Amino acid sequence: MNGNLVQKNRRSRRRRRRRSPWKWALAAVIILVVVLMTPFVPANEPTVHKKSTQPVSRPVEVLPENPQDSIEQDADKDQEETAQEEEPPSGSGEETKVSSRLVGESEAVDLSYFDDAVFIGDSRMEGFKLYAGLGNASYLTSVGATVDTVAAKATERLSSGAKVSIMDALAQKSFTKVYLMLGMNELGWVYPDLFAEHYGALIDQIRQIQPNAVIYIESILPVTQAKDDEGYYVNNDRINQYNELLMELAEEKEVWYLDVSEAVEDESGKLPADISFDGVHLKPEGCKTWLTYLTTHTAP
Amino acid sequence: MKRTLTAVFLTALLTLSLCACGQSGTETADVDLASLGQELTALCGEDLYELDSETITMLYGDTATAQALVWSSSGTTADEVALFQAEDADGAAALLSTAQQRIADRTESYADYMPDESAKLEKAIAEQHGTYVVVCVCSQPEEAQSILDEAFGS
Repeated sequence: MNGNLVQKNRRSRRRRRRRSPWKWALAAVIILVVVLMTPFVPANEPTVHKKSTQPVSRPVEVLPENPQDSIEQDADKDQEETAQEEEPPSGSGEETKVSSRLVGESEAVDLSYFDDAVFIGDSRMEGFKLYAGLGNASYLTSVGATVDTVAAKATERLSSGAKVSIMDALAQKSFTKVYLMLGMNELGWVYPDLFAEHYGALIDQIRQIQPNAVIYIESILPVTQAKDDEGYYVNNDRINQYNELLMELAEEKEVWYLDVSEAVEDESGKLPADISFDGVHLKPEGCKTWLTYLTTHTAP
Repeated sequence: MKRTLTAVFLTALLTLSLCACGQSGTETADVDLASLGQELTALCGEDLYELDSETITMLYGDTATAQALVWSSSGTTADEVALFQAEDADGAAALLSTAQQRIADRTESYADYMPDESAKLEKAIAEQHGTYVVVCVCSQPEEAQSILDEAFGS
């Protein structure tokens, strides 16, 4: 019995010895294949890049002025990718619905149309006030204005000498048209949805103050290619993302959306360098083009 | 007789001094505001554009002026050059007050938006020379002051 067992073990060892070279050779081949394949399968490459057949252009990395900027830029990237994934196909029913509040081209109105209009906005709207040549309109503008500060910060000097917020100043006189341009100073907000939410609350407040006024949301104007290249959060991708939100907001609040960007942008959707000194604010000729657009785009 | 002579003398003296006071507001030699504007705006860089009269009224009020010239930035900076000749010294004083208030308001607005520009506004020049009022917001206030001193003979 023991002799049989010993013989069986010896046969088994011999079989194992005979198989061993093949096993090692097979293992070596597998390792070689794995090693050779590794560089072609980046572990962290996002799915969207793997699918792309185009070269992947990477944004210029710029050190943010403060850590919050870094968070904002990361949030931007995530939101941009989400937006790409959720973008409805062209010509879908949703797209048609969103653009129903978009003001189309109409017959040019006389400048007296703006006699009872008020323009509310930030530094770019202030530029419009200075250079468009529309002195018969009213303006409630402030550099650095946001959807929050227009109600919270006292920036307007009344004839009485009192300094009040833009919203309080708006209540001093009756208007039939309210033009809004805000958003440039909010591009760095971590949550764009919050911007849209606060903008919506602002529209509700304007409606209460000026119940008979037609409200126009003006799109955020683009910036130049050079500004884009700075790699900061003030860029055209971010502006387009905000403008989509504004168009949706116009639909939701049943106000009008004016795509004034199309009046000043070049064929690539950027602000031409020759109409802006700093890549953001418009020179006088740009403001005049903007005004011409407003005269030919009025609510029906 | 002595009292009468003293009274006449004092009356004459008072009349002459009042005349002198009245003239002090208009005694400033005529200044070419367009040329002065050229010199001052040269200190402010390229991004400065002349405003039309309606816009000037929006910014500085409806004060009657014989001449008003204002140049302002498109938004890159807080730079501004404003030159006025009012119809009288009172009008100029009112304009100066409006200009000072405007500078104070802009300083406050720029504090959170562009702090460097706010600092520039804190050094802004706002002066009255007789019926003339001058405002200059630029990065070289000392040079601007020299130009103004020469123009108004200060």
